[in-house]
Amino acid sequence: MENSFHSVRLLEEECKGCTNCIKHCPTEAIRVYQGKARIINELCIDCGECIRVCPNYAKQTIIDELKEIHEYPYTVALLAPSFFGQFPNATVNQVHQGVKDLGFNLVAQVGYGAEHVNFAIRQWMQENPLRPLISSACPTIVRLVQVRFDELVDHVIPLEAPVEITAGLVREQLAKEKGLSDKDVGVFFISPCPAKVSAIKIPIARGQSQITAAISMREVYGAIMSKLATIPKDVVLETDLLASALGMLWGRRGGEVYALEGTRVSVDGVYNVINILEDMAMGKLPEVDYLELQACPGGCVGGPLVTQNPFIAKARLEALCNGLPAAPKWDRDDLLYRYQKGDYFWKLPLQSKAVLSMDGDISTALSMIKQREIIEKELPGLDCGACGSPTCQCLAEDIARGMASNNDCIFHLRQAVQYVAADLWRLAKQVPPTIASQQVLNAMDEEDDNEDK
Amino acid sequence: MLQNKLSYAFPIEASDFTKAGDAAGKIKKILKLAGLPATVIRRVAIIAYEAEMNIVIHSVGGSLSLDLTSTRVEMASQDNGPGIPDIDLALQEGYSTASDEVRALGFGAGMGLPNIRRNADHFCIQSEVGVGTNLEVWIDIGVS
Ligand SMILES: Nc1ncnc2c1ncn2[C@@H]1O[C@H](COP(=O)(O)OP(=O)(O)O)[C@@H](O)[C@H]1O
Ligand code: SF4
Ligand SMILES: [Mg+2]
Repeated sequence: MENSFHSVRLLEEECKGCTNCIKHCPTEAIRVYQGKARIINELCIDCGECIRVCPNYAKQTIIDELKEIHEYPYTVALLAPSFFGQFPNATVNQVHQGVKDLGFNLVAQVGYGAEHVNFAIRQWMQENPLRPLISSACPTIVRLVQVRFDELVDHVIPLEAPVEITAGLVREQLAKEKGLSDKDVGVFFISPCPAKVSAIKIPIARGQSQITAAISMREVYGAIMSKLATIPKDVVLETDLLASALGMLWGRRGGEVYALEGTRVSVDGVYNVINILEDMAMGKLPEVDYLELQACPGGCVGGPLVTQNPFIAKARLEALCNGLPAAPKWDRDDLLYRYQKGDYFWKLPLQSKAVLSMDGDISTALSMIKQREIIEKELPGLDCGACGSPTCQCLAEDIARGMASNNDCIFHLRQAVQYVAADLWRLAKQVPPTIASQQVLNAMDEEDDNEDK
Repeated sequence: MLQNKLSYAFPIEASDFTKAGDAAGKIKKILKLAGLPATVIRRVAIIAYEAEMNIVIHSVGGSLSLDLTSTRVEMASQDNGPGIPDIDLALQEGYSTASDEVRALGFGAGMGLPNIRRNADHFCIQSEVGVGTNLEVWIDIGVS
């Protein structure tokens, strides 16, 4: 099976080859080549920054379609907490019911699973001394650690994300109460981001996801908006897979660590996250116990596939939480039993996917690094991006890797052209005088004299 | 056979907290390009950062150097004073002469030198009051 699926893709027809995306990619995973942006799969972390900055809408998310629900006898929609912040003046129950009315048999709130994860984090922190721990809830961050901070993989808490936990709980309930087998149940996640989509297609550290498919929040937004007015604000929901404020607040920065002990730090925005991971890698965070890291501004309310302004969505989500029970009614024995059974854990260890190395052989890599530095000194250091690489240093690296050439740099190219032109000039003057007009030769000499002055 | 070797020296200014950590960051990037094991990179990053910070915080300025071959990461820091009067004391966990201002910035836990020593395969520090401090460490690649 392909093990580097990415849901962020390029629409070639729309791409004009501008340099917006290469400049904004936090892992320098994009180059412009032959006039089109190319994503280097091994480096891509599915953060969706390129989707946000592309002025031509040429970056898209490969995502499933709502009509796929007809392929399953029984269908479930999973709603992320961030989803509830997308609608003005709507209650949690209205939004929940609105999604059900799209044709699902059951709707479950991912905040419900988040509460289970919350319990698991607390348990893990009691049992394991390694600090700081890095949250595993945002798949972009987990991938970022795998590709760029592989020296920190041990610090990522080895727990499934709330959406995966919720899917498992739903399937278990349906099997027990309705006798439904896994293959008859289609579980659809309504996703705020491409990263969650990728994590469903190729799970981070398990064989197969329990989620069948992912649908973009954008795709269902309009349909639900138009239904809301017809749904009573206090509509009764026929499920117990509901979130309290504790789980619901995971939709925005700070929600995950709210009920944890110790020194907790919440960081949002992929560039901020990179900075704090750099600090952590240098041992700068000795006092921190838990790092909640989210790639999007404000957390999932700022996901690349949401429709609303993240600050508004955050405010709405918080207002909605005021009307919810503060915490779930936990059956601690049940949760502890599940924890000990391993339900909450990744099924495989988190792999390093370090991709920065120049060569598999260290000695060869050292010569390539040397070469990179020689090349870099000859580049202008303007980071103009016209070569298709985000920075001069990155181009130097690409050249040393044999992926690009010196003349991709327009300054280099111009200099080369200058040398050729000088040669031509000299040759032109060597043409036999019987052929060349004396007038032209005189003009050329004059030109040279002017240059010399 | 002559080994491939990369050598760098990074000048480090005293009390410049905005640039602090830059040299350690550059060293880390080079090691990543070289494809060194994550365990080695982790140890080197901690050593480089602590050594760099000691020059920034405690000295009048100096430099941090890196010599990298396919078998060993060598780092050396040197500064031009004021030197350490009692090295054994300085090596104790928790011992620090950092000022209150520096502590307010989150430094001065007195764990720098002990952490450097713990993470290094070879550790040597020499200091002369009024002259300066020299630190030399190396980490063997593959023996982690
Ligand atoms: N380069 C240096 N120059 C002068 N004094 C130093 C130097 N490096 C360390 N020291 C002394 O050793 C002490 C312990 O250093 P360290 O273990 O790094 O702890 P900290 O930097 O937190 O004080 C410092 O407080 C300082 O007195
Ligand atoms: S912060 Fe949330 S929305 Fe953004 S990439 Fe991570 S999981 Fe997706
Ligand atoms: Mg120190």
